[in-house]
Amino acid sequence: MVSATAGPLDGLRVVEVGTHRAGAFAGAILADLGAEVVKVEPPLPADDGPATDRLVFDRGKRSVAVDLDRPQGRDVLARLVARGDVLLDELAPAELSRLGLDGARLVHCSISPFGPAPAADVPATHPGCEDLLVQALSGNMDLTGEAGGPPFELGIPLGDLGAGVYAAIGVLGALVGGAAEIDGAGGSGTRVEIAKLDVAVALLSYMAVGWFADGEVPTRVGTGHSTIFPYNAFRARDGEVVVAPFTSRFWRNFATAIGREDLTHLDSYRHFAGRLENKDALTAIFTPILAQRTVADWLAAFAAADVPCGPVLTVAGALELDHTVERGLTPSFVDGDGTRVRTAGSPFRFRFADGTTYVPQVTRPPRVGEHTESLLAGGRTA
Amino acid sequence: MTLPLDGVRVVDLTRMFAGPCATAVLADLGAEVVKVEEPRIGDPTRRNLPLWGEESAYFMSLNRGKRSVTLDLKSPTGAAAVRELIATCDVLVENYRPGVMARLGLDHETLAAAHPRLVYCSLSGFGATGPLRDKISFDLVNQAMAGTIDLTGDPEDRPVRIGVPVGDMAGGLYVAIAALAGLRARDRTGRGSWIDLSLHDVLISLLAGVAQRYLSTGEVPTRTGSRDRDVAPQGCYRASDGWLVLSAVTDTHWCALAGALDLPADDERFADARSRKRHESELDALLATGLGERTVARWTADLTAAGVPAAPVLSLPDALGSALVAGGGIAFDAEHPTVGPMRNLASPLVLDGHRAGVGATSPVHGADTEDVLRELGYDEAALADLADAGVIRGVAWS
Repeated sequence: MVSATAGPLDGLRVVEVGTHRAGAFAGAILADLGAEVVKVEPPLPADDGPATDRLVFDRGKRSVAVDLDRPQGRDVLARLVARGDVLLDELAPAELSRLGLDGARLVHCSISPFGPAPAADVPATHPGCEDLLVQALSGNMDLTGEAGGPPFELGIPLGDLGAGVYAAIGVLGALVGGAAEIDGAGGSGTRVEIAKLDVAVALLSYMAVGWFADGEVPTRVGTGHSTIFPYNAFRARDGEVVVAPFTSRFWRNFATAIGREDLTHLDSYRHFAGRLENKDALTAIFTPILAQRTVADWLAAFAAADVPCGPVLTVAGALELDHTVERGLTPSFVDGDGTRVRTAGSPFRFRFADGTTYVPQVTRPPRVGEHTESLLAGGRTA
Repeated sequence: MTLPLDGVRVVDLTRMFAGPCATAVLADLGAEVVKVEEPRIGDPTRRNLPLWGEESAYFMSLNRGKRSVTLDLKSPTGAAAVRELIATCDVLVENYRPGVMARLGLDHETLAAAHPRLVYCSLSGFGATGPLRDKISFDLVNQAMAGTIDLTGDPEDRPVRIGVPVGDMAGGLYVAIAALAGLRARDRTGRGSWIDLSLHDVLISLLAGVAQRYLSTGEVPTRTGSRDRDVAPQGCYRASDGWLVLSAVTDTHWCALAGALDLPADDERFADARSRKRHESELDALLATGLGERTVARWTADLTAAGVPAAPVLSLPDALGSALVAGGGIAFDAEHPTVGPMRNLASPLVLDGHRAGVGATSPVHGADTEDVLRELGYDEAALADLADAGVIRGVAWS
């Protein structure tokens, strides 16, 4: 599906400087939506992640390579910022001021690991481990793992990626609210600041407010849930399957599908609260039954019985799922060396009121400094 | 202070987590969000435990800063009223299963014909197209089918679910992005839009780095405990009284860690980060012995003093009470109209020095029905008729 329509952010100019995974992810989201994103990076970028990261975090951007330790380099940055609508960075305040970026009159979003905290409260850190520290300090890790076992880092770096997502929200909110873009009448600019730690804390959502309400401390419960049951994975003969039959109707369907319709007649399991209270006893009943058949068998049985369920898929399984591919979530681009690269796509699909559609098209990431000359030449005449 | 979305009106036809999370973000940014609820029970999460007074903590956490209007959308008069409400709004957000909005006569094609400037956001488990479009979804099911469960936990053991509701929350945040991008496009072109977002697609997108590793190399990444995939040591370790995380993958940090633990600095197996990764099990055994000898507090203090990134694994109460989190001000106290003094979380967004969402409380079920309908031109007699017919929640019900 090719969309010829301009993206919703067509014409928006974004400058990224000093970004790591979080800021780069924000830039990628904005680029997916049609913005022109210029990544300002050192001529020899630091090696702070897997080589494949650039393919997904920097696709569709332009790259300007400059040495910001030299005055000429800082002049180039200033020119790019002057023609931009949005500045995205992961730089400390002192670094922003050294680069002459404090007080910039555009939408300026900075992402930091911990916000403006006193130095004494802040751990030592480097970009590759910020997400791990943030997950540990936010309570997210403590909530992830088996009861009584070790806590685990979340399988995807949500402190980093979530901060990128919030950066996109903050930037777009400021733009919609009237912070002028360069083709409009001059604006005053908006400062947007995001701490990764706050993003991870926001993920606590109802668990935090539940604790504020009654003082009950939530803990980790494997694949399960502290206040919903059944809502967890079971081990089938050849893999894991999740089920979520916690409403009365789904509970009857589930009990019937596993051949234990008799359980639905027992008073102790008749209501949601009783099933939750007796979850250990019920788990002991379900576990050997679920272990007898394959994941595919159970999924077929549960689908026929109308039980919410799903297989626990690997990354490969999730990406190769017919549904994922059919929704266009694994698009590809031709990289600089001519190879075709598949990537994890953008989830946005727009249909405008005039019937035109916009689906983000992915293009390869730039070589470091690929657009330095073209953008600087263009910058002079702009 | 003026907020960016002052003057933007949002009609919120969502329930549960993901949809309400989206409209809470828009409310944080200053939009007027009118949440339309079924008259008798309303958003089902109003009954989720624990309760705070008569309100659900769950509901309160996701619906701050909104107005609540009750309307039975299945009745002709309720459907007419919601159409009048939609006519006054810039954005519509809904998270019904695909097909339900069409049955209510509120599908995008119908509404776009009458309101070409409307930004209409649909959020569902698997989206409006594709073989799984009708599949029932919960955060658990979406996490399972997007690979995030397989990615979380100990590689030698069963996988675990990410304990926080990541699929739902990410879905909500992406709806907010979609709505804002749709508004920007509308303001420039005059055209509204329909955005079909799915929780599954959003999670697939968030696989980002691990997805690319598979797609580029063919390697299938799975869970690593809390270890980094390429370099070591970085992960979660047991101290004498609990768990801490640390990272010593740079050579500077590694030397400092080896010094703090009295490990030989010249061991060739541990000469650089990738070599340490190749010998990770021997390295982890050495670290486990050393780290097990002192408390979490002692190790995090000692390692931090030595310049090594380290932090305790905090429980939810300890995290919220820590100087770092409390000092940032994301939790706030407010006065709820019926609960009284309560505490809630605001937004991670700080705009021009002000944290978004501070002070906002969730609405009592139907609290704004009469005000909102009066704004649409309903008079007392019409309101009484709607209440008698059960289309809106009457005072006598509460």
